[in-house]
Amino acid sequence: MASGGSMAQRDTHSNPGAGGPLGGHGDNVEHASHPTARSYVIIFFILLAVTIAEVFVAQEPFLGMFEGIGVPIAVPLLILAAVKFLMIAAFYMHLKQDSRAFSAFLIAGLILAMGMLFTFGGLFTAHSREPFDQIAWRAQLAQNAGTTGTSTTTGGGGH
Amino acid sequence: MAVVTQSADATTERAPAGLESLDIRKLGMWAFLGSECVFFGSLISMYFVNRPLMFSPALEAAHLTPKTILNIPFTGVLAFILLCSSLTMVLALNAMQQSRRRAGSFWLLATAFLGMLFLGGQAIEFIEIAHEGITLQNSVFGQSFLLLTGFHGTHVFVGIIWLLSCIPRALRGGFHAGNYIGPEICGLYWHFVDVVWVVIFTIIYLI
Repeated sequence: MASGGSMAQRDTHSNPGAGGPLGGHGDNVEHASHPTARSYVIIFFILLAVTIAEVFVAQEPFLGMFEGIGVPIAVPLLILAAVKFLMIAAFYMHLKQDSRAFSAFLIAGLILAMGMLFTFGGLFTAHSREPFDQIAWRAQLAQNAGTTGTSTTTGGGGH
Repeated sequence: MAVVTQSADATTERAPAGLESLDIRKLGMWAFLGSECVFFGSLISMYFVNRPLMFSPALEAAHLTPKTILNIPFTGVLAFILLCSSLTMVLALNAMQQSRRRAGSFWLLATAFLGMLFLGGQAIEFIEIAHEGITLQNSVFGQSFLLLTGFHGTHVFVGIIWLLSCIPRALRGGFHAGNYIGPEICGLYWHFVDVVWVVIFTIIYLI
């Protein structure tokens, strides 16, 4: 997301009037030129196009098209969402011009969030179908017991 | 990271090269936004953990799965509104950076208005879902969906209050080319709220 330049040189959007050792820049800090309103509007239309593409991809016939070629619908949708995420962060939140230290905070938060998502997802969803499978299993047992004419308990197994 | 200069004979703790020049308020906001990633990550994790329970055969037979309950075109319009508010926010900051206080105030107000529109749309969506019989108390989907989108809506509400509180100072000329840190930090928060909606819209509504 960010490239080139030292941390100090790249903090081009901070308050030039702020004082104190950590409070901002002095008057002698050079400021890079800000993106223009026109560039913000162009980025908006790109984001809008991606949003429209997302909605269309999630509907038929695109939904069936992706399933037909064996690609889960989540893949193109997550790619489009990632494009929007990166564009907003880079251009509207100015991470492209700003210090890498700011990007580091966002990336650290994202890594923690993704780690939590995959960890809990793996821990809990591995057994999520068990209650339904047990219902089906008990029904099958009951059916088998009925056909053999014996009365057996259909319980068993945990929850 | 702190820079503490004591008496002449005392030791001086210095920040790594380059970090001294970073604006501490902006750094603080980014640290906060990093923690917010974890907060929303936990809510999205909760939704994913509960998601298999939202597609039981009984719920599918009763057309009470997320796919049948959620109104995607309507939410697409809400996503568009929030995207527009991100544009008006950067235009507000752009105007402040050029000391155009009236234009800056106008765009701040427009951003707040679009945020209110979004909240209104979200309220309509919640009412429609309640009419379907989905509430916080009676379904796993209700709990997961309403908690996640409700917390996002709360963030939008806080953002609107913040935006509105910036407008009087902007009108008085308090923000100009030499000082625009207020709307800039507010803008970071607002764009983050937009980015979170990008993720929620894709994961909850479209997938």
